[in-house]
Amino acid sequence: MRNTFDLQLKELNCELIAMGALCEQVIKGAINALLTDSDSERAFVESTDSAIDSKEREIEAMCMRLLLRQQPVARDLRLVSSALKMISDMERIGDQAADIAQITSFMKGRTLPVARIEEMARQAAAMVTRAINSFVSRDLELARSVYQADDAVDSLFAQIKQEIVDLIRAGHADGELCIDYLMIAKYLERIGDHAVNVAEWVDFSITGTHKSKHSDLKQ
Amino acid sequence: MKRKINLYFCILSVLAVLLTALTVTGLLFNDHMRSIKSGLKNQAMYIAAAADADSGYIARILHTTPDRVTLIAPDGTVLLDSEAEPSALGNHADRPEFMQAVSAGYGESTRASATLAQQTLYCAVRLQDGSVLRLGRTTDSILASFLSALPVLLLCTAAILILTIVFSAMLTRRIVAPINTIDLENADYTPYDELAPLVERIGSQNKKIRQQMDSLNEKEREFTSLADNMREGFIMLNARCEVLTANKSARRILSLEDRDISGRNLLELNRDPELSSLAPAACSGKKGSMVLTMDGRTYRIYAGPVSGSGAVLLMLDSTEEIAREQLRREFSANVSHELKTPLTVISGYAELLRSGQTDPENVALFSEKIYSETSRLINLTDDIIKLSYLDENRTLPRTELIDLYQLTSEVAESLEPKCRLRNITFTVSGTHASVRGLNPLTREMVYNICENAVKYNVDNGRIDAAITDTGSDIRLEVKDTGIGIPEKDLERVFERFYRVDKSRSKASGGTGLGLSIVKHAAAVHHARVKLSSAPGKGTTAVIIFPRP
Repeated sequence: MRNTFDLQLKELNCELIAMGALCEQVIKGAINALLTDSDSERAFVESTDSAIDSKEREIEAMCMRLLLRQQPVARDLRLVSSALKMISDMERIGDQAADIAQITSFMKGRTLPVARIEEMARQAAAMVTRAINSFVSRDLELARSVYQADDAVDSLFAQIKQEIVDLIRAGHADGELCIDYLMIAKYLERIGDHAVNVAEWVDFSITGTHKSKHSDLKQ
Repeated sequence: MKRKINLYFCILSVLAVLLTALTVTGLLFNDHMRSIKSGLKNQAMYIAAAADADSGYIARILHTTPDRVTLIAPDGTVLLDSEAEPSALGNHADRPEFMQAVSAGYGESTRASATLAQQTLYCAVRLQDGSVLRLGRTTDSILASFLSALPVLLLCTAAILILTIVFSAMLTRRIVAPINTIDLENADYTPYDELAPLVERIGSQNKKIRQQMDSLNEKEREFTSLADNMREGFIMLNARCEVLTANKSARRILSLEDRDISGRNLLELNRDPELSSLAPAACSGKKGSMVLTMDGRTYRIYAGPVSGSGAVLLMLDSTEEIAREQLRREFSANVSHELKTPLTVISGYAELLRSGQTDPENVALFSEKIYSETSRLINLTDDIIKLSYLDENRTLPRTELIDLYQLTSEVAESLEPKCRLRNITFTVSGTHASVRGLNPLTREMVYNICENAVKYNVDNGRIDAAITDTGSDIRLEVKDTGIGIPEKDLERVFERFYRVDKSRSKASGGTGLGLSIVKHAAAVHHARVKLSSAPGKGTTAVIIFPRP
């Protein structure tokens, strides 16, 4: 009985990593769609996003089965419950990447001279990769380093916003394009936030205390 | 074992106590009965003797004896009884003691009374008048006497049981202690002879196991050292894609050098989508290969199923190979392009000539163009043929000794007209040293180096060629005062069709293959080519030949 349980936990672990890998791919695809304006990349993002959605349902069912049939306790319970939370964040990451890809299809190859957006996209992708790596290696330090990386992405968002505002003020930028860029930047910022959430659940699955509890204690 | 011995001891002692108690009770009871019986018989005899003398005697003593006294008429009718009304008692003619007494003069019998706990012993004596006197004494039965002894018996049993437990514990400890001290690793001593065969067998089996372990360890060490010294990454997976073994190279490739990765899922090591579909496919019996790029290096990964279940991944670092392939592809594209350019020119002029409306003056000009483009084409094809020859033949078929000084002088002489055109001074100095080579090829190599020195020189420049014998090798150094090569291009000038200045290709009239031929020719000569340059000041090319 325990043996099957262990196997199921391992399987859950693998499925989570596989879902994380899909998230990495979907972000990479979205960035490529933004930079190269290629339809094949957009199609790839779309198909990967639906793969992420079905993966979420699959893992959810798996977690429920584990909870009901095996009634895990302590660390195992934490893994299963944090898995349940993590997949919804990862699913949101997939959605946002799909949204970015969809916006790029409206831009029709036009670009704004906003240099930092590429940098921001890379950093957000790196955050997701780092959050997933921290889950894979159960690395608390790595998970916590994601929180700090989020500050960098947030400040990049503020800078990009300022750049876009300046462009609009200067008056020779296409307004529609400006808003598209702002939305893309916002989605990237949200991706960063979801990466932080994933990292927080990794933190929880290791330590047993969620970050919100830490900040409560500090207050 | 100890518990079993203790248990048996207890059972044995309880059984012994019970058996002894039963036997002793039985024997003692028998004795007791016999003495009661003889006492009762004697008493019956006395009373009978007295009754024979005095017929009223029985009636008198009837209530004075503790025993039951009965007088029975010869027909069995009870005449007197000490405990009951004679009329209430039935005919006693069927009682065994009565019948014996009537026939033999004396009879006795024992009967259980109403309860099992008591029994009555009867003795009957025939009187002279034919009637029978019967004495009956009621005593405890064997069961009752046993039951009366039971509390003591149980107490005894308990005491013996306690003693047994203590004793057997001590005994078993004593017996077992030496067994536990047997050294099974080298079993040459046994505390009990009975254990000798067992200990001997265990000892020999231990030895066999040790040998097998040793050979297994040895095999594993061999395998590990073999696998660890492989340049290729080698990973064995079980059916669930978990790592069974991974050699050092594999860990290095996955940048997990310092960690033990056995037992971890492949997905934890690398999340590449292609790899994570390749490995399970291999586990289910489908061979496959892929190219994986990690940290700027390219690996070719072959996955094969293992009979049973699982898969083997082989990771080959093919960064260079793939880069070479890329170069080759570029080369063929370049060759086609380089071939096409002169052909287009030729075709254009030929078309003009064909129309037949060209001035004789222009005919000469066009023919000249066609001729020069054709010779360019021939040069190019020659160079390509040389290169492909060098590509295929890594060693020289037959070699001869060539005087490098003389060869260089000849080359300088043949370049003399070109030098004179641009007023370039070409000097050859040094010693007469011989190298081993194949004449046309060696000459080609030297010629190409010197020609480049002329081609990329400035007007009124200098070229100094020097041959030196350092003792360990022979060097040809060609120093020019030309335009030089920028540092970033130094590595690449040996590539086929590579040109530092793309626009100069036509002007200098080269094929773009010269240095490439030098590089390959040097390789078959086991020589090395070194280039150093300062842009604007000149280039120094050194060919280092091994001593013949």
